[in-house]
Amino acid sequence: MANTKLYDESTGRYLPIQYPEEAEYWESAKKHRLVVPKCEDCGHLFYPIGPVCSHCLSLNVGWQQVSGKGRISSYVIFHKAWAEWLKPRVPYAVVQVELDEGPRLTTNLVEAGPEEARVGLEVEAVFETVTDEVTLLQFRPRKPA
Amino acid sequence: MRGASIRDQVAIVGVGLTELGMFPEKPSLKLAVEAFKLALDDAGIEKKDVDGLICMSYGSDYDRFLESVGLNVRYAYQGWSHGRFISSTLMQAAYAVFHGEADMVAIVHGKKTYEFGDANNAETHEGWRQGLGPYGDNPAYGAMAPAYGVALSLRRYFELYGRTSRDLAHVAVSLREHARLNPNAFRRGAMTVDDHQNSRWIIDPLKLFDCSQNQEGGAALLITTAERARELKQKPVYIMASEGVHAGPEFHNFAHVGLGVAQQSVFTYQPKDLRIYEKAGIQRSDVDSIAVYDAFSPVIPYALERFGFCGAGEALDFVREGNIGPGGSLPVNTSGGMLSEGHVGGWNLFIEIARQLRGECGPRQVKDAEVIQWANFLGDSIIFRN
Repeated sequence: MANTKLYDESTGRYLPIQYPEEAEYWESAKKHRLVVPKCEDCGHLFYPIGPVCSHCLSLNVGWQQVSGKGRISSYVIFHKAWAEWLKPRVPYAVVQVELDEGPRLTTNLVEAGPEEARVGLEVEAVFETVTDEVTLLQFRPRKPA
Repeated sequence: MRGASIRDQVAIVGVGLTELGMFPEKPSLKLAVEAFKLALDDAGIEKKDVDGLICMSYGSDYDRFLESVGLNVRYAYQGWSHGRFISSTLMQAAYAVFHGEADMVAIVHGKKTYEFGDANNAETHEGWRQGLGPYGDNPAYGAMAPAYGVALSLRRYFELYGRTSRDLAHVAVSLREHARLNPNAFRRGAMTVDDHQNSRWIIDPLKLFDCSQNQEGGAALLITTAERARELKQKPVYIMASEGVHAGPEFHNFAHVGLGVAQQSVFTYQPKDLRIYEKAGIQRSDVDSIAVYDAFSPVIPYALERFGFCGAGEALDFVREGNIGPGGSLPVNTSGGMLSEGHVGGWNLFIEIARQLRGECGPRQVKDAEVIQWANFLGDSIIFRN
C-alpha cells in the first residue's frame, strides 16, 4: 500500500489506499489513461478492481484501456462535510458513471457545478493530479461534437 | 434429511430499553448493564439464569461485560453492530438455545455516539476496503458514510419511478406520528411534510429528516426455549421463521434490488426470491405490522416492495395514503423507529416487536397484533408471533 498519509489538506482529498492489484490502474491514471480489469481467459470486463475474474474465477487478469465515455446513471450532492477539512469543498457532486463499455465507476463531476449533474448526462474522463503518487480519474460533461 | 424445525421453539422472554438521550456520564458498558438489569426484571429472572451472552462490535466487548456483571456463561458470541446483520445476530441466539448451547441468551448493547459516531468510514478504514467500501464508498472522491449509499440509490429510485423528496417526506412524518405516542421516544415534536422539506440537505436527495437519530441508550433482549418461556412471567414472543441477508453483486447496501446502483442490473423487482412466509406457514396478509432497520427513510419503501406489500415503485403512494402510520393498514416501526424513537443499533426495534406482541403499547398498540415481521430490503427477516 503506497500511502501512509490519510489525506492531503492542501487539495482537500483523502488519499486512496492503493492495493497491489490496482497498480496498473493508478500508473495508467498518471498517464491519463483509463483502464479496467479484463479477464485474459474469458474476456470479461469487470469492476471494482480485484484479484480474480468475477465470471470464470481465472486469476489471469489483465487490463483494457476504455474510451472514458459514458453517462451519469446516478449522482448525489454532498452538503455535509464528513471531516472538518472537507468544509471548503461542499457542496460537491459524486457521480456514478456508466461507461459505454458497461462497468459503473464513482467519481466527482468536474468542470461543472454540482447543480449541472443529472441522470443521463454524457460525460468523459479527465484526470486530476492530487500528489506525485495519486492522479484521480474524474468525469466532466461531454462537449457537443 | 432436515432436522426438526425451529418454528415456535424459541422465544423472546425479556426486554430492556434505557432512557434515550445524550449521557456524557455513561459509557457504553454502563448503558449495556442498565439495559441488562431491566431485561432481567422484565423476565422475572436472575443473572445466574443467564448462560449465554451476545455483544456487538461497537460498545463493550462480551468479556468486559461479563467481568462487570460477575457472570460466567457457556455461550458467548460477538456480532456486527451493522444493522444489516442484527437479525442474523438475533438468530444466533435463537440457534444457540434451540441446539442447547445455552438455555438463556442475553443480547446486550450500549450505544454511544462516539463509537457508532458519524460513520466517517474513511477514518475507520471501512471505506477503504479493497474493491470499495460497504456502501460503494470511495473516500478519495469524498464519497463516504452510509448516507452516501442510500442517497445514490434514492436518486435511482426517484428517476425510475418519477417520485420526489416531497413524496418521501411522508415516511418520516408517519414515523414521527408513532413516536408522538411513545413517551420514551427521543424525538416527539410534531413534524409536517413542509418541516421535512425545509430540513437541510445532508446528501441531496437525502434530507436531515430522512436520517435516523444519533443519540445514546442501552438495549437488551433475553432469548430462551419455548418450553422455558412458558414458565416465565411474560407472554412469550415466538420466532416462527427467519430469512438471511441476501448478498452479492445484485445487492447493495442501502439499495433495493434492481435499481442499478454500482454493478446491479436494472429491472423491475418481483418478490420471488424469498421463502419467509412459506417457512412461517403464513400469508403475507397475516402480518399485522412490520419493523424495518430505518437508518434512513428510503429503506422503508424499499422493504415494502422487497416483501411484496407494494408493487415496484408504488410504496411511496402506499405511505402517503397513511398506511404505515398509527391506525394504518400496515403500521411500520410503531415506536417511531430509528428515525424518531432513537438509534440503539436497531435493537430497540426488536424490543418494540416484543412489546406489541405482549399488548403493552398503550395508545400506540396495534389492535389485536398477533404477527409482526422484521423485514429489511436485503431480504433479511424474522417473523414473530404471540
